[in-house]
Amino acid sequence: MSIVLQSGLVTLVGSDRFYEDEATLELYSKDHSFVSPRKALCVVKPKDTDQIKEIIDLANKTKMPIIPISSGPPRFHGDTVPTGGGVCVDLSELNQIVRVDRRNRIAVIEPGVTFDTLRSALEAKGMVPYTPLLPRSTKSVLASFLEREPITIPKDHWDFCDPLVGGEIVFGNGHIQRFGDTAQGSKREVGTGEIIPVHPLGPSSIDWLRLVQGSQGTLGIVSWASIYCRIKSCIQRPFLVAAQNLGDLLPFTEKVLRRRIVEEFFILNSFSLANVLAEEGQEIKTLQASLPAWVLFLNIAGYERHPEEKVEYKEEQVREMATQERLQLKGEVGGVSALAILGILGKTAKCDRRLRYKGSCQVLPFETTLDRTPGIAHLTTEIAGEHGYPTADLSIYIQPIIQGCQCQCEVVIPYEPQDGTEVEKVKSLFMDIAEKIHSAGAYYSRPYGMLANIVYRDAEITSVLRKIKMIFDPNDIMNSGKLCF
Amino acid sequence: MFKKLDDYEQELYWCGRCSYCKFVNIPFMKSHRFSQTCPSIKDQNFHAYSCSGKLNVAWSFLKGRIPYSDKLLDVIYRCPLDGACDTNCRVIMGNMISNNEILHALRVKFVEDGQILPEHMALIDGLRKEGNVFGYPKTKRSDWAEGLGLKDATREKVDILFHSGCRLAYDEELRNVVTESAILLRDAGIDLGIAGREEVCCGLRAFDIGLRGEMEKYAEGVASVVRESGAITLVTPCADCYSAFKYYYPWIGVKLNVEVLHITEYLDRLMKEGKLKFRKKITMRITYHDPCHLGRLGEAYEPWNGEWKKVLGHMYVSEPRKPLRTGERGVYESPRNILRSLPGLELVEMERNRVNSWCCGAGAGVLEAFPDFAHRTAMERIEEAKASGAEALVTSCPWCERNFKDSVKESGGKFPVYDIVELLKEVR
Amino acid sequence: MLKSREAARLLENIVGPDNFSEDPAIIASYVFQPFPRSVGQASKDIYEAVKLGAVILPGNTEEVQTIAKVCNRYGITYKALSTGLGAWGVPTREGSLQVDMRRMNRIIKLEDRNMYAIVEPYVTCRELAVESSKKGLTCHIIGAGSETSVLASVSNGWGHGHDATTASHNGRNCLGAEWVLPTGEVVRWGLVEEGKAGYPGPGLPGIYRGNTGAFGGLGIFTKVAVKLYPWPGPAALEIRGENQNPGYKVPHNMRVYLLAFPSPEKLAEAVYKLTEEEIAYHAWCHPLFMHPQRWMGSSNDDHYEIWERLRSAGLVDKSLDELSVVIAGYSERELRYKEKVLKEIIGETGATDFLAGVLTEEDKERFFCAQIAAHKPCTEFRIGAGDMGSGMGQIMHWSAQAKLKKWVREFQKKYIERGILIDTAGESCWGGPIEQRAAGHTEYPIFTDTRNLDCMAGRREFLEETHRKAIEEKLMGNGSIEASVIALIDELENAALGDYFDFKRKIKDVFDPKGVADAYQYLAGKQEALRNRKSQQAKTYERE
Repeated sequence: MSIVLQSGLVTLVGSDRFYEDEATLELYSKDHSFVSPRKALCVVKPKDTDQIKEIIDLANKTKMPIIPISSGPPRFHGDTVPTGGGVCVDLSELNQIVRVDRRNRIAVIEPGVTFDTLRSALEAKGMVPYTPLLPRSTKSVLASFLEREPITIPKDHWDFCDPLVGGEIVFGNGHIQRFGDTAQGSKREVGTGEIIPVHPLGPSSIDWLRLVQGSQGTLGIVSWASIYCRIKSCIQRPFLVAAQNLGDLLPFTEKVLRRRIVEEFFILNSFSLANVLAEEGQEIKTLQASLPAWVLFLNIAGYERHPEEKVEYKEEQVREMATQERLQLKGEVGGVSALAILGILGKTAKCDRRLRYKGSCQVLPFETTLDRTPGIAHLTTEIAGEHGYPTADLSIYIQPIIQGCQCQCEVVIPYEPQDGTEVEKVKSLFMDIAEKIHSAGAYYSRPYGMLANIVYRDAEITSVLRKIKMIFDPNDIMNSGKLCF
Repeated sequence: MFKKLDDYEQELYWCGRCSYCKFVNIPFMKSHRFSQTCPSIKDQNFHAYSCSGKLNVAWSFLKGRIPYSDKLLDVIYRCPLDGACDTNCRVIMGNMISNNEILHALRVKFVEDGQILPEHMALIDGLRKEGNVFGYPKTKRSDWAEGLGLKDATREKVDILFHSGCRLAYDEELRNVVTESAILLRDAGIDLGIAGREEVCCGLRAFDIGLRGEMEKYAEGVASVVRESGAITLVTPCADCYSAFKYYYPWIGVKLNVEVLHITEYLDRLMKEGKLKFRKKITMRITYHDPCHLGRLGEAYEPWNGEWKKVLGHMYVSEPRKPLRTGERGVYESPRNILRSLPGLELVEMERNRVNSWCCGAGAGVLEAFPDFAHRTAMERIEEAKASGAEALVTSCPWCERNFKDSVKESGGKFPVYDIVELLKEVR
Repeated sequence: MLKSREAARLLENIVGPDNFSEDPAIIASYVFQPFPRSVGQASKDIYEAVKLGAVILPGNTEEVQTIAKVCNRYGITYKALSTGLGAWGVPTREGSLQVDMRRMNRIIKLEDRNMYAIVEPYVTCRELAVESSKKGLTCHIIGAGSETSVLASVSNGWGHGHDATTASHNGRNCLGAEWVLPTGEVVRWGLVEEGKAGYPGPGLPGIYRGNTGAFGGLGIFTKVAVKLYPWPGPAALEIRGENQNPGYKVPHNMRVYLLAFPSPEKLAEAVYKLTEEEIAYHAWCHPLFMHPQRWMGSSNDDHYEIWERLRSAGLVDKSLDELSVVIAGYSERELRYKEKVLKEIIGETGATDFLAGVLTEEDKERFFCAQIAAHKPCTEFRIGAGDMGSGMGQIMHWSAQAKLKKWVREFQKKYIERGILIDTAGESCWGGPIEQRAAGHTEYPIFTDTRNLDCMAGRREFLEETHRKAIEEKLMGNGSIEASVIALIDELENAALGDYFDFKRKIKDVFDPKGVADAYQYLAGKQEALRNRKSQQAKTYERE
């Protein structure tokens, strides 16, 4: 690292927020993906937007790549591995909850805020956060939503961006832009409630949020943002629906989602559900053995006004739809209670569910439409079998999004990281699955690592994205080497 | 009172370009397939061919910005003046824009300036020489009535003057319609007569292509015959003539001073009075096509010679109140009442019915000048009839019937087309 | 005519002679655009706004691409237009090419299981809605009316509508698009292609959509995959009354309420409560004058008569905070629950029946018809004698909307007294909540005599005053939709909302190096001046 850069960074953030020791660099050099590890030159931890901007300005001057990171480990996707060297900008200490607004059902947070912290702050005001499925305790809320990790309540997921609303981005060229209806005010004004960000579009003809979401930090850094929150339910009635074939669950799923009357709603295969509930290997397998192949979880809730009546009418309709599709709503399936799952949904995980079985895994997230999921699930299993991988160890999670118009799915392939043979097998299996299910309609809207190679075969898309990159990060300092840049 | 194009300048300016003149009145729209209401823009696609487009073009023309050209004539004349745009514009603009009047005023202006389509010359020649739009011998005008024993209304007074119209007088294939119409009235004991060879064309075709003077001449002719006959009611089986008598004559200031009825109105009345009964069964699923001139353009004209004044600052209101012409007071239910009363007949509706009816494509000189366009327009309607599940199309206008029949034949397909009266002949 | 004869020949070859025209008679119909009279052009002569060279009607995406390439080669500016309401689709430079999308009018796919449709540009909101309703679905219909293009508002501009409570905003309803860039390449993302759900990493539409859209300034969209929403009513509603002003019978599982609130604050409170419990199917404010305009009457004559009757009855000033609510239930229990909750909210906020004793059952059926069919917005042209404008128009939380409503009302009164604006009692708030959330959209239709230069100058003054005040009070939300003074808006907002103009300029330069996609509404006003202007970010952006 050049003296200029080093002294510049130390001056900016202070020596107590500047790290270049081996242990720290080692931590940031890799994750559970197959992306080749590489150490950064240093790690810095800015404390406000000004510092972020100054770091970016310095990076532009010195052409130094920077890699924004908000969440603590374990990480999975390779997006935060400093593949081009550079400086890791760790935002985890920007962890202020700027405002919680019950009336407008939003919270304004910085990147370092985790789900646990957020939940405590919201509960004090009668609200709860939207969350992905069992996030790890070190996961940044903003990072989760910027990566478009799906929330578990499809009814409230109106658009790709949700639940992000307004906020502030520092782009790779140093420009600071506030987006949505936050645009007219500062963080201070948002904090005092003079400005209340409730809508993400614009300003003008650019959807700033939409651009940076899913960009893996290659366009800019979100220094704070407001997010939608939901009112805490007074009554909740969770149910499980079991099926041996995924396809049997779909007509019911489509009907229920169309009505917009259930809260949490997702589908897990038996192994995936076992990983949610159990903490380690054998326990997981024992639990899996008692479960049907597929389990659908749904939760019906009532709020502040006559919650019993609300829940009654919703349950009546859901039961009717289940009956029409010859399915049953149950409180318990295979010894697993819906209430137990509900209880877990309100928490974070100390150990990420995907690592519980073997200590490491490959995660394959993709988007598709619900009707394609049985075919893709079947194909995935078939390919795993062809590779000699135990198909019962495949974890499949289907999360309807955008109110049921699409779904985000996750295939998890656990493996023993110390077992070199298994590692190679999983690498090959992962690529084979990725290629083949892509042809079957799985789209990598979160194109991490090798998945980017598949998505960006589309020359026109790639060309447009590169033009966008040129505009917002002309010196290519933001997380270079990711996506198609 | 007929107004010149310049008199409509303010109205031309009021077009907001909302496109309502292109589509079926929205609450009544039932499908994407049959969502259009304007045959001209459906056929040609350029905005100029819609009513809004024609108003916009008229504006430009009035300002001297565009010269006469073949294309200008095409834009203005490739339009059957079916009135759908007129009634649809009302839904949005109320009584502010007189679409149908403006479209006629445009054509009158063109003819005054010597701009006339060559294809329309035959029509004009025929009218001038033989008093009918085909140029067939005037002496043969009443051949259809031979042997029916109808009174000569030029020689004796009658209660009902029966006006056949040019199409039915001369189109032998459609002869059943006019003869049966007269027979039904005669056999119901109605005192009716015809003007025979003295019957003159209603003149609507002439007016539709811009010959206002001819229209006035024929209108006066009809008025004269009516006066001479002493009739208290004028009945016709021709929808075009009906529209001429109810709407266009009052517009140009010609009064007939008699009750004007279409044959279906009269037959419906007779059936309600018990003077007509049909007992034979006819098993068929049919749909009914509302002719433009019987429906939208069959609504009586209400004159208005007022002004627009501003209220509330800048909002225009009429003074005295300008009638709101919606097309809903045309003849829609009488034909349906008749059809529903026939044993065995099942009536299904097309999506675009009544005020929202799709034009047959034959009117306003289109059949003469743009036969392909007339054909395509007719076939659109035939497709709609088929889509309704009907086995046949029934109408009550000889121009519609002729165009539908010819178009089906030209297309090489088969789909029966009848006039209501032809069906009545089967069940009498 | 186009300057280049060679270009004209090439363009005609692409689509055939029937679909290309340089004839003055054809062009005259595109040149006439009511909105240019108010889009910053306070002139008597509307022809100063638009100077077309030719009109072309492409039939498919390949033709659109080739047209774009020819335009690039010969430096011809172009812009796409569908039904053509408003000036947004009109090119503004001399010798431009109008690309009329009318031949591209297919509903390519109506996917009821996954609740989306793929449509071409000329498919109107109503056409898509009637087809969707056969499958228990509907689409968002924008406030301009259901005879407008679905694709235009999804991909290119605006997108607010009174069904926003359940059908969102069209800027958030796009699940895929086929975009012909100004240079002629085509980019497809999302569900317009099989198996392509989602964004390719970053949200690509972020570059062209936003709150306002690019209005054709970044090329032509030839397909969109648009989200559909559940429709709780029957496949076809029963029509009542006349063709002229029909009503729909309210289905047994729906209820319609027209409410008047004692104040904007109470109205805001009601909106917050309604959206928290998610009970409204539609919840939207209409200004008082819109009732006699759209469903109580059928003409300006009716409107005026009713208005004077209301005034004489002392109802005009009492009826300024209206909110109409439609609720729907898929079951008897659901409907009862929603009715109960709504009644509670009515009681808590002091709402009463709007125009009690005046509105008839037929009026309410006509109102319901207008809500579902959305066919009445263009009646504003009747009031405004061929034109209308919409002041302000932004999305904010409801407490802010209440505040905005009050002072816009005061501002309007000043201009009514001056004789600039038509007297609507100062109340013209049209807006409502979006997505059962705290966000809401409001805009303020205003009317004046657009042939009167003093009125047009006064109108501009009104818009400028309200915008400056909104910026001062931090009530700009995510930016105004007011397009009639678009250059002013861009200048004011750019300074207040982040100085983003340079980005728009760069986007334009990168995607349209030859500048052939007409960008009047995209980069309005002092484009050249702003191009060279240094960033004012340091001055305008408060920093911690």
